[in-house]
Amino acid sequence: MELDSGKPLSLLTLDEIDQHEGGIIQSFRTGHTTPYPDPADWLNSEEPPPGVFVTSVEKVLNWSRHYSLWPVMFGLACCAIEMMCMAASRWDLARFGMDIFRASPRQADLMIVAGTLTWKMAPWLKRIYDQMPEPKWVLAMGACGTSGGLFRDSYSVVPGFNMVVPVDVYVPGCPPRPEALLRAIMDIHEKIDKTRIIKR
Amino acid sequence: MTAVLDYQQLKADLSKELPGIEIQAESSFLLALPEDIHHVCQYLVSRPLQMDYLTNLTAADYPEYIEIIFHLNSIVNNTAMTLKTRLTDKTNPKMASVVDIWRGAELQEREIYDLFGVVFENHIGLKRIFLWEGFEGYPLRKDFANGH
Amino acid sequence: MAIKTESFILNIGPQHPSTHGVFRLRLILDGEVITDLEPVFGYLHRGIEKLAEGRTYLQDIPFTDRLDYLGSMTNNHAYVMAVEKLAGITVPERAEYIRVILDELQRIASHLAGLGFFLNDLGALQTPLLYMFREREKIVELFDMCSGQRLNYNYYRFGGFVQDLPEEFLPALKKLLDTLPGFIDEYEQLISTNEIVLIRTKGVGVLKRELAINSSAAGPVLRASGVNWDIRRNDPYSIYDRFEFDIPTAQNGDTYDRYMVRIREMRQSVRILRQAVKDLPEGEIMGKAPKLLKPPAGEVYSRIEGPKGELGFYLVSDGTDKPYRWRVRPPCLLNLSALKDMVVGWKVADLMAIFGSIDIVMGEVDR
Repeated sequence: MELDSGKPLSLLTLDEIDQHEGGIIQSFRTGHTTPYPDPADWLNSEEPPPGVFVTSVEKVLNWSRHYSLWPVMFGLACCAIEMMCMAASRWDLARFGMDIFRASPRQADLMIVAGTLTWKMAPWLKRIYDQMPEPKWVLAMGACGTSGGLFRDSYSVVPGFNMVVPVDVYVPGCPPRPEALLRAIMDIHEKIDKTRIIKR
Repeated sequence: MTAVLDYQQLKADLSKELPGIEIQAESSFLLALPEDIHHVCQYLVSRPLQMDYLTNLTAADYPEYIEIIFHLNSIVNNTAMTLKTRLTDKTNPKMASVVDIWRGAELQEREIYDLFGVVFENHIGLKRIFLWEGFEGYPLRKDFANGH
Repeated sequence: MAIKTESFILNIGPQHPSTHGVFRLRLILDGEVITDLEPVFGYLHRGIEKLAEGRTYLQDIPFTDRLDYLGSMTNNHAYVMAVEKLAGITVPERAEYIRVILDELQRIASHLAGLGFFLNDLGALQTPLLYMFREREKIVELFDMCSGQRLNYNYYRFGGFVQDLPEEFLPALKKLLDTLPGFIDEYEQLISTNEIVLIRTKGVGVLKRELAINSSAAGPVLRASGVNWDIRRNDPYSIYDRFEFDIPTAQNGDTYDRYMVRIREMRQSVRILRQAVKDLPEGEIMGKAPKLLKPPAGEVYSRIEGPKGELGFYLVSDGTDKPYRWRVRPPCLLNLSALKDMVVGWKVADLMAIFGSIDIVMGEVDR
């Protein structure tokens, strides 16, 4: 078999791909300067008033959703090791129904972003978030997720994940212990229990 | 124990082998001019010194010059030495690359280009390694301010 | 009739289950066979070297934890040793023995995690990883006892340690040393005679001796290619010249050799640990170091043998309390210099095996 060497390998050469992506990252950085507001109105909402048909459907739906949340693996740095320790045999995550970390975002509904986010990685975080189907939740793990952490005043670190995606639960710590991360996942379960399928 | 080479002896040997090259021997390093670095490195790699292992290649930004530092080792003889050079033109610093002598210099020279702005001639593919194309400035220089 | 084919670019992107973090590879493939490779770094570049110039020497110790986050104790040791050389601080005997104990425990924990990820990449989905994490938990519990942290310990200080080991540490360590060799033997027996592992790793991804030295590889990658070079033996630091241990090397430089060198290094670490625990003296834990350290102007390059290779720190001081230049010599980045030569000619599935056997941590590659 001979290689047809006359044709280009892709629409752009490798160096042009670098330039193109560099342009994406620069425009992303100048476009994202204010943080997204936190979707936190569930904290103050009470139990839904008793209805006739819809309440039990909501309850069953929410129960089934929160017991089979599948996370997409997005481990960036040191916090990823603690996330793996949480999924290992000592603080078993499989008892919550979350044992499979999906590699593809199309099959997942929770994104645990674990580690420091740099501006070079940020457009691809947004792309993976956009590829997840609704309903979806985001958990920002560690001090780097809340505010940029130890690296806040660096030239290439995003100061908090809420600059790029809306975040539901923040977990403090550097890195947070697996028990803290489990508590945060139970907070997401609480949030899911309070969602309603019909807006009143 | 790794023996550090005697810099005075090294300066004498180099002046004999490579006439016309200016070398200064300090207490803990050898200083050469940027134009001569490639010749000096080629001599250091050959026998009898055989400095075949490039441990570290880095740069530092001083007020008058940018200094490039080579830390070399010989695995065969278990010796070590430090070689330095100073680039005085800070607006357009450039020097010859040592990739053809030590393959391990490839990624480290790209890092120096990315963070300090030093251009290495005859490098196999000199482009930014850690920051993205389109980033303005060279972060590890002292006049680049950190922060948001 | 000749069949014409086309090569194409495959992007193994930053978010991928087998890339050990955020690492991107652009492969040019002819069918399944790799003809060219271009790695893209920088997705975790946090600018640690610039940040460290704005903080004092003591405040830079937490940055060293986050470089190779699977081997924080050895990172701390390398940095603290460099500053002690610069400022002329001596370390008492008991602190030196404890440093050796913690370093070797950290080496075992790092190799366990590295081997677990390697076997994960080969396709043994999660099972060996979870077994190795079970052993690693026991070591991490010991570290939790002395430093209070499970991952980024921040335990070493200039001149020794700020707090002595708690009383429960030594009995727990002795109990662990009785059971650990049994586990290492069990892993070796279960995996090293497995047919699939042998076919997928023997002869795959060979790194020749001259290329390994020329591309500045270090650590198990260098030793598996037949070079007998270990900083603990060739340029001893701390009190390593008092212990008896072997340096495992291998001849072929393929993936299987890199895996076996790590297993044998774990056994040698257990040997050093037994000697260190037996000879541990009593005494003070911290040498004389000023509260606000202002080392005299000068520079130093000091290095240790970390689990991934030679970790060195190059510090330049100008007499103030903040460093002028703070440079890390990253073993994982330099182990990747020869990746193209190791991988070209093999298939995409072999790429994951070869890449997993180099055992990199992205925090150190990108800093």
